[in-house]
Amino acid sequence: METGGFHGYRKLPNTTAGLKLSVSDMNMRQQVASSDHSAATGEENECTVREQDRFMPIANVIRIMRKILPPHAKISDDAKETIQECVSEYISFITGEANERCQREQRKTITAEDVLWAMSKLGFDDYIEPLTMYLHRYRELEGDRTSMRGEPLGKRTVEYATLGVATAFVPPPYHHHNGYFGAAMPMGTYVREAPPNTASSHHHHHHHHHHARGISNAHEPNARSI
Amino acid sequence: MDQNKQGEAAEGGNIGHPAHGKNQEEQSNPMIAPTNPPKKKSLEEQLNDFWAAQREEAKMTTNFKTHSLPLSRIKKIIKTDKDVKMISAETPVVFAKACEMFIKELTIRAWANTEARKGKILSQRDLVSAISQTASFDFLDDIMPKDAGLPRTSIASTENAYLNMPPQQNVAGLPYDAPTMAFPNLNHHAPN
Repeated sequence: METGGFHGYRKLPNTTAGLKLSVSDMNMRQQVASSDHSAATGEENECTVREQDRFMPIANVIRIMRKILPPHAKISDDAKETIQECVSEYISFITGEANERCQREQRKTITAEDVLWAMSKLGFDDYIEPLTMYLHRYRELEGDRTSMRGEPLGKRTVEYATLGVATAFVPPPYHHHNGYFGAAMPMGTYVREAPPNTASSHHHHHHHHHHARGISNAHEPNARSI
Repeated sequence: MDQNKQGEAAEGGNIGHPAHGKNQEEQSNPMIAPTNPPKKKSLEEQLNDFWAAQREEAKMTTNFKTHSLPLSRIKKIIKTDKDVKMISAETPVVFAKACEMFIKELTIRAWANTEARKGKILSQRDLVSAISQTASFDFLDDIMPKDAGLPRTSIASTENAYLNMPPQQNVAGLPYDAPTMAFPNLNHHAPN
């Protein structure tokens, strides 16, 4: 017996009328927002959002998990589904924060730097240094395919690395979210989930670090957009 | 004790779910694991080793043609937020790496809980416990299943407890822990 709130991400063994309605709602929302989708996404019609497209492929997720688990470990099916949901939530969480920063600075394109900034702000400090190195390697090896080049970007990226290291030694304070939920609300899954949890409170604990103003004042880099 | 046995035999979820496929996972584990946490190490030591390995791995990356997660799917998930207008070409690439690390970190923490309860199957309740014990994973609370009959006030008091303790600690009476569970290796583990 499943109790508690309805989880919009829950995948059912058989398609139900409710699920069809959900997919239909998602389609309608996507159609309304179709002007927001760049043609560069290209592979298929953005108006069609299949259920499986809202999660990472389970095979990829399991492969990653197995790299970190001991050889004899087993993973239950409900754990696999839960991890899929967590990854989608993680992407949306970081994206929402990064997008807010873009809007504050009146930019339209979310850059890799915005993503790194959002992660640092939201408590994922350990991620900053490896991701910064990864991004550097990507630009070295794939640089001719993007226009993300230049000293200002390099300097800013280095600052992120320094920021990550510095904040690692400071216990992060909590403070109420600064609008993430506002950004999240338009998401289809949240809209569907909200009514059953009318009484639910929205507690999102953010780690708030003070950043040098220089970083947030940077103008939009000359990025090739998708 | 019966509860533990029953949990191990079944999928171990705290809430009854429709039966899915079997949990048979005979897939062999690649020996090139970047971090293979021995059971002797504490969770904090495992995580320190993990992050050190991630930094080394990131420096030596040579293949950007294939990613551990498909970029097209990442783009679709990003675009579910209709406020998002455009993203640079590098954004899904960074997310692919970030999500890989996120999955691994969450798996390490969940498996520590599996071991603590002497289980053999990483199950949903191990994930729920790991998420409730990690401050940076608070954003996942809303999508986690709630225990049947668990008063909402318990969740509120737990959140208050988190707010008053910046360094993440194992709080007694966490809503998703069985009373008999003990986490000796999880004491005083900080998110950073």
